[in-house]
Amino acid sequence: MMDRAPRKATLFEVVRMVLSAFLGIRKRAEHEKLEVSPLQVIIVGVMAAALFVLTVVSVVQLVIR
Amino acid sequence: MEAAHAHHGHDDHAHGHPTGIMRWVKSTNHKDIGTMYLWFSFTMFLVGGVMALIIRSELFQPGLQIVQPDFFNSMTTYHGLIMVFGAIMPAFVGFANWLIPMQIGAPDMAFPRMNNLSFWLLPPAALLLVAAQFMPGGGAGVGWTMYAPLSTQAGPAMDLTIFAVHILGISSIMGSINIITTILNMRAPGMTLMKMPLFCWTWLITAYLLVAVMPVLAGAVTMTLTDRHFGTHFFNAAGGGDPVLYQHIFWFFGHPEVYIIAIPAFGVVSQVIPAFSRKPLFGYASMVYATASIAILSFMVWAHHMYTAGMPVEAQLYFMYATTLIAVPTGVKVFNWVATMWKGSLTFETPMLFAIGFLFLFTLGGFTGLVLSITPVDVQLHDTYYVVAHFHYVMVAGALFSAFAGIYFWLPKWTGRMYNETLGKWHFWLSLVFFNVTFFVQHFLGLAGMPRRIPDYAVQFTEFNMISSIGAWGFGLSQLLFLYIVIKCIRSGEKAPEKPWEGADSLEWTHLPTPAPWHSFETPPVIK
Repeated sequence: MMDRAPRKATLFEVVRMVLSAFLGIRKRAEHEKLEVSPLQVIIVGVMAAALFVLTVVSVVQLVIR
Repeated sequence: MEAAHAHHGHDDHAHGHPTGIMRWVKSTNHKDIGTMYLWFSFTMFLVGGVMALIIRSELFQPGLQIVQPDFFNSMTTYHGLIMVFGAIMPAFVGFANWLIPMQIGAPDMAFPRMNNLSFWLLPPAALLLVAAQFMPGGGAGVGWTMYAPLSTQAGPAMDLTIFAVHILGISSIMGSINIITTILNMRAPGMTLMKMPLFCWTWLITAYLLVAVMPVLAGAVTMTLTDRHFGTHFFNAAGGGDPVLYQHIFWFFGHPEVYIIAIPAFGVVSQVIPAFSRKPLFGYASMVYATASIAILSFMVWAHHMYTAGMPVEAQLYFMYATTLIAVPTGVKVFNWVATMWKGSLTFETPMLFAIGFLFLFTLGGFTGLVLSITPVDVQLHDTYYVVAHFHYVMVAGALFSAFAGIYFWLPKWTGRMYNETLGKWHFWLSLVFFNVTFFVQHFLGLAGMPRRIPDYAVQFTEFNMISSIGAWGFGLSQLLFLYIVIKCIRSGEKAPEKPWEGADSLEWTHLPTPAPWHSFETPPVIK
Protein backbone atom coordinates (compact mmCIF):
# COMPACT_ATOMS: atom_id res chain seq x y z
CA MET A 1 0.00 0.00 0.00
CA MET A 2 1.21 3.49 -0.80
CA ASP A 3 1.78 5.98 1.98
CA ARG A 4 1.94 9.26 0.12
CA ALA A 5 0.16 11.95 2.13
CA PRO A 6 -3.23 12.54 0.49
CA ARG A 7 -3.94 16.14 -0.49
CA LYS A 8 -7.19 17.98 0.27
CA ALA A 9 -9.87 17.57 -2.36
CA THR A 10 -11.21 20.55 -4.27
CA LEU A 11 -14.95 21.26 -4.46
CA PHE A 12 -15.04 19.93 -8.02
CA GLU A 13 -13.42 16.69 -6.89
CA VAL A 14 -15.92 16.23 -4.07
CA VAL A 15 -18.78 16.78 -6.51
CA ARG A 16 -17.24 14.26 -8.88
CA MET A 17 -16.87 11.82 -6.03
CA VAL A 18 -20.51 12.13 -4.97
CA LEU A 19 -21.73 11.78 -8.55
CA SER A 20 -19.64 8.66 -9.09
CA ALA A 21 -21.13 7.36 -5.84
CA PHE A 22 -24.62 7.83 -7.25
CA LEU A 23 -23.62 5.64 -10.14
CA GLY A 24 -21.80 3.32 -7.76
CA ILE A 25 -18.52 3.32 -9.66
CA ARG A 26 -15.23 4.58 -8.29
CA LYS A 27 -11.58 3.64 -8.47
CA ARG A 28 -9.84 2.80 -5.23
CA ALA A 29 -6.68 4.65 -6.32
CA GLU A 30 -8.72 7.79 -6.83
CA HIS A 31 -10.01 7.52 -3.31
CA GLU A 32 -6.63 7.03 -1.73
CA LYS A 33 -4.94 10.11 -3.13
CA LEU A 34 -7.57 12.54 -1.85
CA GLU A 35 -8.52 13.65 1.63
CA VAL A 36 -12.17 14.59 2.12
CA SER A 37 -13.99 15.34 5.34
CA PRO A 38 -17.29 13.56 6.01
CA LEU A 39 -18.97 16.99 6.36
CA GLN A 40 -18.00 17.91 2.78
CA VAL A 41 -19.38 14.66 1.46
CA ILE A 42 -22.63 14.95 3.41
CA ILE A 43 -23.28 18.54 2.31
CA VAL A 44 -22.47 17.86 -1.33
CA GLY A 45 -24.33 14.53 -1.13
CA VAL A 46 -27.55 16.10 0.14
CA MET A 47 -27.30 18.85 -2.48
CA ALA A 48 -26.72 16.30 -5.21
CA ALA A 49 -29.69 14.28 -3.94
CA ALA A 50 -31.88 17.39 -4.10
CA LEU A 51 -30.58 18.05 -7.59
CA PHE A 52 -31.40 14.46 -8.53
CA VAL A 53 -35.00 14.92 -7.38
CA LEU A 54 -35.29 18.25 -9.22
CA THR A 55 -33.90 16.70 -12.40
CA VAL A 56 -36.36 13.83 -12.32
CA VAL A 57 -39.21 16.26 -11.57
CA SER A 58 -38.25 18.45 -14.54
CA VAL A 59 -38.07 15.42 -16.81
CA VAL A 60 -41.57 14.54 -15.61
CA GLN A 61 -42.75 18.09 -16.36
CA LEU A 62 -41.29 17.78 -19.83
CA VAL A 63 -43.03 14.46 -20.41
CA ILE A 64 -46.53 15.47 -19.35
CA ARG A 65 -46.52 18.79 -21.18
CA MET B 1 -0.09 -8.83 16.39
CA GLU B 2 1.50 -5.78 17.92
CA ALA B 3 0.29 -4.13 21.08
CA ALA B 4 -0.27 -0.45 20.45
CA HIS B 5 -1.29 0.50 23.95
CA ALA B 6 0.19 -0.70 27.18
CA HIS B 7 -2.01 -3.29 28.82
CA HIS B 8 -3.72 -1.27 31.54
CA GLY B 9 -5.24 -3.91 33.70
CA HIS B 10 -8.73 -3.78 32.08
CA ASP B 11 -10.21 -2.36 35.32
CA ASP B 12 -10.74 -5.92 36.32
CA HIS B 13 -12.15 -6.20 39.84
CA ALA B 14 -11.57 -9.95 39.76
CA HIS B 15 -15.15 -10.48 38.72
CA GLY B 16 -15.66 -13.88 37.20
CA HIS B 17 -18.47 -13.56 34.71
CA PRO B 18 -21.81 -14.95 35.86
CA THR B 19 -22.67 -18.47 34.85
CA GLY B 20 -25.92 -20.26 34.11
CA ILE B 21 -28.95 -18.24 33.17
CA MET B 22 -27.58 -15.01 34.67
CA ARG B 23 -24.69 -15.13 32.17
CA TRP B 24 -27.30 -14.42 29.49
CA VAL B 25 -29.67 -12.14 31.42
CA LYS B 26 -26.93 -9.79 32.59
CA SER B 27 -24.57 -10.21 29.66
CA THR B 28 -22.65 -7.21 28.37
CA ASN B 29 -20.42 -9.34 26.17
CA HIS B 30 -20.92 -8.68 22.47
CA LYS B 31 -20.51 -12.34 21.62
CA ASP B 32 -23.10 -13.58 24.12
CA ILE B 33 -25.51 -10.89 23.04
CA GLY B 34 -24.87 -11.74 19.39
CA THR B 35 -25.60 -15.38 20.16
CA MET B 36 -28.86 -14.44 21.89
CA TYR B 37 -29.90 -12.30 18.92
CA LEU B 38 -29.25 -15.20 16.57
CA TRP B 39 -31.16 -17.78 18.64
CA PHE B 40 -34.00 -15.33 19.18
CA SER B 41 -34.23 -14.68 15.47
CA PHE B 42 -34.21 -18.40 14.69
CA THR B 43 -37.02 -18.98 17.19
CA MET B 44 -39.04 -16.21 15.61
CA PHE B 45 -38.20 -17.65 12.18
CA LEU B 46 -39.87 -20.89 13.28
CA VAL B 47 -42.89 -19.07 14.74
CA GLY B 48 -43.31 -16.98 11.59
CA GLY B 49 -42.69 -20.12 9.55
CA VAL B 50 -45.52 -22.00 11.25
CA MET B 51 -47.78 -19.05 10.40
CA ALA B 52 -46.64 -19.27 6.78
CA LEU B 53 -47.47 -22.99 6.75
CA ILE B 54 -50.96 -22.28 8.10
CA ILE B 55 -51.41 -19.81 5.23
CA ARG B 56 -50.09 -22.23 2.62
CA SER B 57 -52.10 -25.17 4.00
CA GLU B 58 -55.33 -23.18 3.72
CA LEU B 59 -54.38 -22.20 0.17
CA PHE B 60 -53.66 -25.80 -0.86
CA GLN B 61 -57.19 -26.03 -2.22
CA PRO B 62 -59.84 -23.46 -3.13
CA GLY B 63 -62.61 -22.98 -0.58
CA LEU B 64 -62.17 -22.80 3.18
CA GLN B 65 -60.82 -25.97 4.80
CA ILE B 66 -58.65 -25.28 7.80
CA VAL B 67 -59.00 -21.75 9.17
CA GLN B 68 -61.54 -18.96 9.28
CA PRO B 69 -60.90 -15.85 7.15
CA ASP B 70 -60.26 -13.62 10.20
CA PHE B 71 -57.62 -15.97 11.48
CA PHE B 72 -56.12 -16.24 8.00
CA ASN B 73 -55.80 -12.44 7.85
CA SER B 74 -54.21 -12.45 11.27
CA MET B 75 -51.69 -15.05 10.06
CA THR B 76 -50.65 -12.99 7.02
CA THR B 77 -50.26 -9.96 9.29
CA TYR B 78 -48.14 -11.53 12.00
CA HIS B 79 -46.19 -13.73 9.60
CA GLY B 80 -44.98 -10.51 7.97
CA LEU B 81 -44.36 -8.57 11.17
CA ILE B 82 -42.58 -11.45 12.90
CA MET B 83 -40.40 -12.34 9.93
CA VAL B 84 -39.36 -8.72 9.26
CA PHE B 85 -38.95 -7.41 12.81
CA GLY B 86 -38.44 -10.64 14.75
CA ALA B 87 -36.41 -12.86 12.43
CA ILE B 88 -34.45 -11.05 9.72
CA MET B 89 -33.55 -7.78 11.45
CA PRO B 90 -32.37 -9.41 14.73
CA ALA B 91 -30.42 -12.00 12.74
CA PHE B 92 -28.30 -9.30 11.14
CA VAL B 93 -27.96 -7.40 14.43
CA GLY B 94 -26.66 -10.70 15.81
CA PHE B 95 -24.05 -10.80 13.05
CA ALA B 96 -23.19 -7.15 13.78
CA ASN B 97 -22.68 -7.86 17.47
CA TRP B 98 -20.50 -10.85 16.87
CA LEU B 99 -18.43 -9.48 14.03
CA ILE B 100 -18.06 -5.71 14.11
CA PRO B 101 -15.82 -5.56 17.22
CA MET B 102 -13.69 -8.42 15.89
CA GLN B 103 -13.45 -6.99 12.39
CA ILE B 104 -12.38 -3.49 13.45
CA GLY B 105 -10.07 -4.67 16.25
CA ALA B 106 -12.18 -3.46 19.21
CA PRO B 107 -12.63 -5.23 22.56
CA ASP B 108 -16.43 -5.01 22.59
CA MET B 109 -19.32 -2.78 21.49
CA ALA B 110 -19.17 0.87 22.57
CA PHE B 111 -22.16 0.65 24.97
CA PRO B 112 -22.29 -2.89 26.36
CA ARG B 113 -25.14 -2.29 28.82
CA MET B 114 -27.28 -0.60 26.21
CA ASN B 115 -26.48 -3.58 24.04
CA ASN B 116 -27.97 -5.85 26.71
CA LEU B 117 -31.11 -3.71 26.88
CA SER B 118 -31.46 -3.62 23.06
CA PHE B 119 -31.62 -7.38 23.09
CA TRP B 120 -33.85 -7.84 26.10
CA LEU B 121 -36.49 -5.52 24.63
CA LEU B 122 -37.04 -8.06 21.88
CA PRO B 123 -38.60 -10.97 23.83
CA PRO B 124 -41.37 -8.79 25.36
CA ALA B 125 -42.16 -7.39 21.91
CA ALA B 126 -42.32 -10.92 20.49
CA LEU B 127 -44.60 -11.98 23.35
CA LEU B 128 -46.91 -9.07 22.57
CA LEU B 129 -47.11 -10.11 18.93
CA VAL B 130 -47.90 -13.69 19.88
CA ALA B 131 -50.30 -12.66 22.69
CA ALA B 132 -52.21 -10.53 20.17
CA GLN B 133 -53.57 -13.79 18.74
CA PHE B 134 -55.40 -14.46 22.00
CA MET B 135 -57.05 -11.07 22.43
CA PRO B 136 -60.84 -10.75 22.15
CA GLY B 137 -61.63 -10.88 18.44
CA GLY B 138 -58.30 -12.58 17.67
CA GLY B 139 -55.20 -11.09 16.04
CA ALA B 140 -55.46 -7.88 14.04
CA GLY B 141 -55.94 -8.88 10.40
CA VAL B 142 -54.65 -5.61 9.04
CA GLY B 143 -51.60 -6.75 7.09
CA TRP B 144 -48.03 -6.08 8.20
CA THR B 145 -48.39 -2.58 6.75
CA MET B 146 -51.15 -1.78 9.30
CA TYR B 147 -53.03 0.47 6.87
CA ALA B 148 -55.75 2.79 8.12
CA PRO B 149 -58.75 2.54 8.29
CA LEU B 150 -58.43 -1.19 9.05
CA SER B 151 -55.94 -0.50 11.82
CA THR B 152 -58.01 2.26 13.39
CA GLN B 153 -61.02 -0.05 13.53
CA ALA B 154 -59.34 -3.33 14.56
CA GLY B 155 -59.82 -4.94 17.97
CA PRO B 156 -57.58 -4.71 21.05
CA ALA B 157 -54.95 -6.93 19.41
CA MET B 158 -53.99 -3.84 17.40
CA ASP B 159 -52.90 -2.04 20.56
CA LEU B 160 -50.56 -4.88 21.46
CA THR B 161 -49.20 -4.80 17.93
CA ILE B 162 -48.61 -1.05 18.07
CA PHE B 163 -46.83 -1.36 21.39
CA ALA B 164 -44.70 -4.21 20.05
CA VAL B 165 -43.68 -2.06 17.07
CA HIS B 166 -42.74 0.77 19.45
CA ILE B 167 -40.54 -1.53 21.52
CA LEU B 168 -38.91 -3.09 18.47
CA GLY B 169 -38.20 0.38 17.13
CA ILE B 170 -36.55 1.48 20.38
CA SER B 171 -34.43 -1.66 20.34
CA SER B 172 -33.36 -1.04 16.74
CA ILE B 173 -32.45 2.59 17.40
CA MET B 174 -30.35 1.68 20.44
CA GLY B 175 -28.65 -1.08 18.49
CA SER B 176 -27.88 1.38 15.70
CA ILE B 177 -26.44 4.01 18.02
CA ASN B 178 -24.21 1.32 19.44
CA ILE B 179 -23.04 0.17 16.03
CA ILE B 180 -22.38 3.70 14.74
CA THR B 181 -20.41 4.65 17.84
CA THR B 182 -18.44 1.42 17.82
CA ILE B 183 -17.43 1.78 14.19
CA LEU B 184 -16.62 5.47 14.34
CA ASN B 185 -14.76 5.48 17.66
CA MET B 186 -13.35 2.06 18.41
CA ARG B 187 -11.39 1.04 15.34
CA ALA B 188 -7.87 -0.23 15.98
CA PRO B 189 -4.99 2.11 15.09
CA GLY B 190 -4.49 2.06 11.33
CA MET B 191 -7.95 0.64 10.63
CA THR B 192 -9.17 3.51 8.47
CA LEU B 193 -12.78 3.49 7.33
CA MET B 194 -11.77 2.42 3.84
CA LYS B 195 -9.84 -0.54 5.22
CA MET B 196 -12.82 -1.95 7.10
CA PRO B 197 -14.36 -5.16 5.80
CA LEU B 198 -17.39 -4.37 3.68
CA PHE B 199 -19.67 -5.97 6.28
CA CYS B 200 -18.81 -3.14 8.71
CA TRP B 201 -19.48 -0.55 6.05
CA THR B 202 -22.87 -2.01 5.20
CA TRP B 203 -23.83 -2.00 8.88
CA LEU B 204 -22.62 1.58 9.38
CA ILE B 205 -24.88 2.71 6.55
CA THR B 206 -27.78 0.52 7.69
CA ALA B 207 -27.52 1.90 11.22
CA TYR B 208 -27.93 5.44 9.88
CA LEU B 209 -30.95 4.31 7.88
CA LEU B 210 -32.47 2.77 11.01
CA VAL B 211 -31.95 5.91 13.09
CA ALA B 212 -33.57 7.92 10.30
CA VAL B 213 -36.68 5.83 9.67
CA MET B 214 -37.65 3.98 12.85
CA PRO B 215 -39.00 7.22 14.39
CA VAL B 216 -41.13 7.68 11.26
CA LEU B 217 -42.71 4.27 11.81
CA ALA B 218 -43.13 5.04 15.50
CA GLY B 219 -44.90 8.28 14.51
CA ALA B 220 -47.21 6.45 12.12
CA VAL B 221 -48.28 3.84 14.67
CA THR B 222 -48.57 6.47 17.42
CA MET B 223 -50.97 8.45 15.25
CA THR B 224 -52.89 5.22 14.68
CA LEU B 225 -53.00 4.76 18.44
CA THR B 226 -54.29 8.27 19.12
CA ASP B 227 -56.85 7.86 16.34
CA ARG B 228 -58.02 4.69 18.04
CA HIS B 229 -58.23 5.97 21.59
CA PHE B 230 -57.78 9.70 21.95
CA GLY B 231 -60.19 11.17 19.43
CA THR B 232 -57.71 12.38 16.82
CA HIS B 233 -58.48 12.04 13.10
CA PHE B 234 -55.09 11.81 11.42
CA PHE B 235 -56.24 9.01 9.17
CA ASN B 236 -60.01 9.42 9.40
CA ALA B 237 -61.52 11.19 6.39
CA ALA B 238 -64.75 11.88 8.29
CA GLY B 239 -62.77 13.98 10.77
CA GLY B 240 -60.72 15.80 8.12
CA GLY B 241 -57.87 13.27 8.09
CA ASP B 242 -56.56 11.17 5.24
CA PRO B 243 -56.01 7.39 5.18
CA VAL B 244 -53.59 7.80 2.26
CA LEU B 245 -51.42 9.95 4.55
CA TYR B 246 -50.79 6.80 6.58
CA GLN B 247 -49.57 5.00 3.49
CA HIS B 248 -47.15 7.82 2.65
CA ILE B 249 -45.73 7.87 6.18
CA PHE B 250 -45.57 4.10 6.41
CA TRP B 251 -43.73 3.68 3.12
CA PHE B 252 -41.37 6.54 3.87
CA PHE B 253 -40.25 4.12 6.56
CA GLY B 254 -41.05 0.99 4.58
CA HIS B 255 -38.88 1.50 1.56
CA PRO B 256 -35.66 2.26 3.46
CA GLU B 257 -36.65 -0.75 5.60
CA VAL B 258 -36.24 -2.94 2.53
CA TYR B 259 -32.65 -1.73 2.34
CA ILE B 260 -32.18 -2.04 6.09
CA ILE B 261 -32.78 -5.74 5.53
CA ALA B 262 -30.91 -6.04 2.23
CA ILE B 263 -27.76 -3.99 2.90
CA PRO B 264 -26.33 -6.11 5.78
CA ALA B 265 -27.12 -9.12 3.59
CA PHE B 266 -24.96 -7.51 0.88
CA GLY B 267 -22.27 -7.13 3.53
CA VAL B 268 -22.29 -10.82 4.46
CA VAL B 269 -22.18 -11.89 0.83
CA SER B 270 -19.31 -9.45 0.22
CA GLN B 271 -17.29 -11.32 2.88
CA VAL B 272 -18.20 -14.81 1.72
CA ILE B 273 -17.75 -14.52 -2.07
CA PRO B 274 -14.13 -13.17 -1.95
CA ALA B 275 -13.17 -15.82 0.64
CA PHE B 276 -14.25 -18.71 -1.58
CA SER B 277 -12.99 -17.05 -4.76
CA ARG B 278 -9.58 -16.51 -3.11
CA LYS B 279 -9.51 -12.98 -4.53
CA PRO B 280 -10.10 -9.61 -2.91
CA LEU B 281 -13.56 -8.13 -3.44
CA PHE B 282 -13.71 -6.54 -6.88
CA GLY B 283 -14.35 -2.80 -6.67
CA TYR B 284 -14.29 -2.42 -2.88
CA ALA B 285 -14.50 1.38 -3.07
CA SER B 286 -17.30 1.16 -5.63
CA MET B 287 -19.19 -1.15 -3.31
CA VAL B 288 -18.92 1.31 -0.42
CA TYR B 289 -20.07 4.20 -2.56
CA ALA B 290 -22.84 2.21 -4.22
CA THR B 291 -24.14 1.15 -0.81
CA ALA B 292 -24.19 4.73 0.45
CA SER B 293 -25.88 5.79 -2.75
CA ILE B 294 -28.57 3.11 -2.48
CA ALA B 295 -29.20 4.28 1.08
CA ILE B 296 -29.76 7.90 0.02
CA LEU B 297 -31.86 7.00 -3.00
CA SER B 298 -33.98 4.65 -0.89
CA PHE B 299 -35.62 7.71 0.68
CA MET B 300 -36.86 9.02 -2.65
CA VAL B 301 -38.88 6.18 -4.07
CA TRP B 302 -41.41 5.25 -1.37
CA ALA B 303 -44.64 5.88 -3.26
CA HIS B 304 -43.96 3.11 -5.78
CA HIS B 305 -45.62 0.89 -3.16
CA MET B 306 -48.88 2.77 -3.55
CA TYR B 307 -49.38 3.61 -7.23
CA THR B 308 -52.99 2.46 -6.96
CA ALA B 309 -53.76 4.54 -3.85
CA GLY B 310 -54.37 7.62 -5.95
CA MET B 311 -51.79 10.27 -6.77
CA PRO B 312 -51.23 12.79 -9.54
CA VAL B 313 -49.75 11.47 -12.76
CA GLU B 314 -46.68 13.68 -12.17
CA ALA B 315 -46.03 11.87 -8.90
CA GLN B 316 -46.52 8.48 -10.53
CA LEU B 317 -44.01 9.35 -13.23
CA TYR B 318 -41.53 10.76 -10.72
CA PHE B 319 -41.62 7.65 -8.56
CA MET B 320 -41.43 5.39 -11.59
CA TYR B 321 -38.32 7.12 -12.96
CA ALA B 322 -36.61 7.37 -9.58
CA THR B 323 -37.29 3.71 -8.80
CA THR B 324 -35.95 2.56 -12.13
CA LEU B 325 -32.76 4.57 -11.53
CA ILE B 326 -32.09 2.98 -8.12
CA ALA B 327 -31.50 -0.27 -9.98
CA VAL B 328 -28.23 1.17 -11.31
CA PRO B 329 -26.12 1.11 -8.10
CA THR B 330 -27.69 -2.25 -7.17
CA GLY B 331 -26.71 -3.59 -10.58
CA VAL B 332 -23.15 -2.33 -9.98
CA LYS B 333 -23.01 -4.47 -6.85
CA VAL B 334 -24.18 -7.59 -8.65
CA PHE B 335 -21.56 -7.06 -11.35
CA ASN B 336 -18.89 -6.57 -8.67
CA TRP B 337 -19.75 -9.90 -7.04
CA VAL B 338 -19.65 -11.64 -10.39
CA ALA B 339 -16.33 -9.94 -11.21
CA THR B 340 -14.97 -11.09 -7.85
CA MET B 341 -15.66 -14.69 -8.84
CA TRP B 342 -14.29 -14.17 -12.35
CA LYS B 343 -11.06 -16.17 -12.76
CA GLY B 344 -10.94 -16.88 -9.03
CA SER B 345 -10.07 -20.33 -7.70
CA LEU B 346 -13.60 -21.10 -6.64
CA THR B 347 -14.63 -23.80 -4.22
CA PHE B 348 -18.21 -24.49 -3.32
CA GLU B 349 -18.54 -25.09 0.39
CA THR B 350 -21.96 -24.44 1.92
CA PRO B 351 -21.43 -20.70 2.64
CA MET B 352 -20.40 -20.12 -0.98
CA LEU B 353 -23.37 -22.13 -2.26
CA PHE B 354 -25.77 -19.96 -0.28
CA ALA B 355 -23.95 -16.82 -1.46
CA ILE B 356 -24.28 -17.87 -5.09
CA GLY B 357 -27.90 -18.85 -4.48
CA PHE B 358 -28.36 -15.36 -3.08
CA LEU B 359 -26.74 -13.81 -6.14
CA PHE B 360 -28.99 -15.64 -8.61
CA LEU B 361 -32.26 -15.32 -6.77
CA PHE B 362 -31.78 -11.82 -5.38
CA THR B 363 -31.06 -10.64 -8.91
CA LEU B 364 -34.30 -12.28 -10.03
CA GLY B 365 -36.17 -10.60 -7.16
CA GLY B 366 -34.60 -7.28 -8.06
CA PHE B 367 -35.63 -7.76 -11.66
CA THR B 368 -39.29 -8.42 -10.80
CA GLY B 369 -38.99 -5.29 -8.66
CA LEU B 370 -38.08 -3.36 -11.80
CA VAL B 371 -41.12 -4.84 -13.53
CA LEU B 372 -43.30 -3.63 -10.65
CA SER B 373 -41.71 -0.18 -10.69
CA ILE B 374 -43.37 0.51 -14.05
CA THR B 375 -46.62 2.20 -13.04
CA PRO B 376 -48.99 0.81 -15.69
CA VAL B 377 -47.70 -2.72 -15.04
CA ASP B 378 -48.01 -2.25 -11.30
CA VAL B 379 -51.60 -1.12 -11.63
CA GLN B 380 -52.29 -4.59 -13.06
CA LEU B 381 -50.14 -6.48 -10.59
CA HIS B 382 -50.73 -4.52 -7.38
CA ASP B 383 -51.91 -6.76 -4.51
CA THR B 384 -51.50 -9.94 -6.57
CA TYR B 385 -49.26 -12.92 -5.92
CA TYR B 386 -46.71 -11.42 -8.31
CA VAL B 387 -45.86 -8.95 -5.55
CA VAL B 388 -45.73 -11.77 -2.98
CA ALA B 389 -43.33 -13.69 -5.24
CA HIS B 390 -41.21 -10.57 -5.80
CA PHE B 391 -40.62 -9.67 -2.18
CA HIS B 392 -40.06 -13.26 -1.09
CA TYR B 393 -37.25 -13.50 -3.65
CA VAL B 394 -35.76 -10.41 -2.07
CA MET B 395 -36.41 -11.30 1.58
CA VAL B 396 -35.96 -15.09 1.62
CA ALA B 397 -33.55 -15.78 -1.22
CA GLY B 398 -31.90 -12.43 -0.55
CA ALA B 399 -31.70 -11.79 3.16
CA LEU B 400 -32.31 -15.29 4.55
CA PHE B 401 -29.93 -17.09 2.18
CA SER B 402 -27.26 -14.53 2.96
CA ALA B 403 -27.85 -15.09 6.69
CA PHE B 404 -27.42 -18.84 6.15
CA ALA B 405 -24.21 -18.17 4.18
CA GLY B 406 -22.95 -16.06 7.07
CA ILE B 407 -23.88 -18.61 9.73
CA TYR B 408 -22.09 -21.47 7.95
CA PHE B 409 -19.14 -19.16 7.25
CA TRP B 410 -18.64 -17.96 10.83
CA LEU B 411 -19.92 -21.00 12.76
CA PRO B 412 -16.35 -22.41 13.06
CA LYS B 413 -15.15 -19.05 14.41
CA TRP B 414 -18.06 -18.83 16.85
CA THR B 415 -18.07 -22.40 18.16
CA GLY B 416 -14.59 -23.71 17.40
CA ARG B 417 -16.23 -26.63 15.63
CA MET B 418 -17.03 -27.46 12.02
CA TYR B 419 -20.51 -28.14 10.77
CA ASN B 420 -21.14 -31.26 8.68
CA GLU B 421 -20.39 -30.20 5.11
CA THR B 422 -22.52 -32.92 3.49
CA LEU B 423 -25.56 -32.00 5.56
CA GLY B 424 -24.89 -28.31 4.91
CA LYS B 425 -24.99 -28.97 1.18
CA TRP B 426 -28.21 -30.94 1.61
CA HIS B 427 -29.67 -27.96 3.47
CA PHE B 428 -28.69 -25.65 0.63
CA TRP B 429 -30.06 -27.76 -2.19
CA LEU B 430 -33.30 -28.57 -0.36
CA SER B 431 -33.79 -24.88 0.47
CA LEU B 432 -32.99 -23.78 -3.07
CA VAL B 433 -35.31 -26.26 -4.75
CA PHE B 434 -38.22 -25.88 -2.34
CA PHE B 435 -37.88 -22.10 -2.28
CA ASN B 436 -38.34 -21.97 -6.04
CA VAL B 437 -41.14 -24.55 -5.98
CA THR B 438 -42.92 -22.33 -3.46
CA PHE B 439 -42.40 -18.92 -4.94
CA PHE B 440 -41.62 -19.20 -8.65
CA VAL B 441 -45.15 -20.39 -9.44
CA GLN B 442 -46.55 -17.44 -7.52
CA HIS B 443 -45.36 -15.20 -10.39
CA PHE B 444 -47.76 -17.06 -12.67
CA LEU B 445 -50.58 -16.83 -10.13
CA GLY B 446 -50.05 -13.09 -9.86
CA LEU B 447 -49.91 -12.55 -13.61
CA ALA B 448 -53.16 -14.51 -13.87
CA GLY B 449 -54.72 -12.17 -11.32
CA MET B 450 -54.82 -14.07 -8.02
CA PRO B 451 -55.14 -11.49 -5.21
CA ARG B 452 -52.94 -11.74 -2.12
CA ARG B 453 -54.17 -11.89 1.52
CA ILE B 454 -57.38 -13.79 0.60
CA PRO B 455 -58.01 -17.28 2.08
CA ASP B 456 -60.03 -18.51 -0.90
CA TYR B 457 -59.48 -18.35 -4.66
CA ALA B 458 -61.03 -19.20 -8.00
CA VAL B 459 -60.61 -22.83 -9.13
CA GLN B 460 -58.36 -22.04 -12.11
CA PHE B 461 -55.56 -21.16 -9.65
CA THR B 462 -55.64 -24.57 -7.94
CA GLU B 463 -52.66 -26.36 -9.54
CA PHE B 464 -50.11 -23.62 -8.95
CA ASN B 465 -51.35 -23.15 -5.39
CA MET B 466 -50.95 -26.86 -4.69
CA ILE B 467 -47.40 -26.78 -6.03
CA SER B 468 -46.62 -23.69 -3.96
CA SER B 469 -48.02 -25.24 -0.75
CA ILE B 470 -46.02 -28.44 -1.24
CA GLY B 471 -42.91 -26.31 -1.75
CA ALA B 472 -43.64 -24.33 1.39
CA TRP B 473 -43.88 -27.47 3.54
CA GLY B 474 -40.67 -28.78 1.99
CA PHE B 475 -38.92 -25.47 2.64
CA GLY B 476 -40.18 -25.32 6.22
CA LEU B 477 -39.12 -28.88 7.05
CA SER B 478 -35.70 -28.29 5.44
CA GLN B 479 -35.05 -25.64 8.06
CA LEU B 480 -35.33 -28.28 10.79
CA LEU B 481 -32.32 -29.88 9.10
CA PHE B 482 -30.54 -26.55 9.55
CA LEU B 483 -31.39 -26.56 13.26
CA TYR B 484 -30.04 -30.13 13.51
CA ILE B 485 -26.82 -29.16 11.69
CA VAL B 486 -26.19 -26.21 14.00
CA ILE B 487 -26.89 -28.16 17.21
CA LYS B 488 -24.77 -31.08 16.01
CA CYS B 489 -21.95 -28.67 15.21
CA ILE B 490 -22.09 -27.04 18.63
CA ARG B 491 -22.30 -30.33 20.56
CA SER B 492 -20.15 -32.76 18.63
CA GLY B 493 -18.73 -31.13 15.51
CA GLU B 494 -15.13 -31.83 14.54
CA LYS B 495 -12.66 -29.36 15.98
CA ALA B 496 -12.29 -26.48 13.55
CA PRO B 497 -8.82 -25.59 12.24
CA GLU B 498 -7.51 -22.12 13.15
CA LYS B 499 -8.48 -20.80 9.73
CA PRO B 500 -10.87 -23.16 7.97
CA TRP B 501 -11.32 -20.86 4.94
CA GLU B 502 -7.99 -20.09 3.30
CA GLY B 503 -9.33 -17.06 1.44
CA ALA B 504 -10.79 -15.31 4.50
CA ASP B 505 -8.77 -12.20 5.29
CA SER B 506 -10.61 -10.05 7.84
CA LEU B 507 -9.23 -9.57 11.37
CA GLU B 508 -11.40 -12.19 13.07
CA TRP B 509 -9.71 -14.84 10.93
CA THR B 510 -6.19 -13.43 10.75
CA HIS B 511 -5.67 -12.03 14.26
CA LEU B 512 -7.85 -14.11 16.60
CA PRO B 513 -7.75 -17.77 17.59
CA THR B 514 -10.59 -20.18 16.79
CA PRO B 515 -12.94 -20.28 18.64
CA ALA B 516 -12.89 -16.54 19.27
CA PRO B 517 -11.87 -15.76 22.87
CA TRP B 518 -14.30 -14.28 25.41
CA HIS B 519 -12.76 -10.80 24.99
CA SER B 520 -11.66 -10.06 21.45
CA PHE B 521 -8.91 -7.44 21.46
CA GLU B 522 -7.90 -6.33 24.95
CA THR B 523 -4.96 -4.64 23.27
CA PRO B 524 -5.79 -3.35 19.81
CA PRO B 525 -3.92 -4.81 16.85
CA VAL B 526 -2.01 -2.41 14.62
CA ILE B 527 -3.22 -2.46 11.05
CA LYS B 528 -0.64 -1.68 8.42
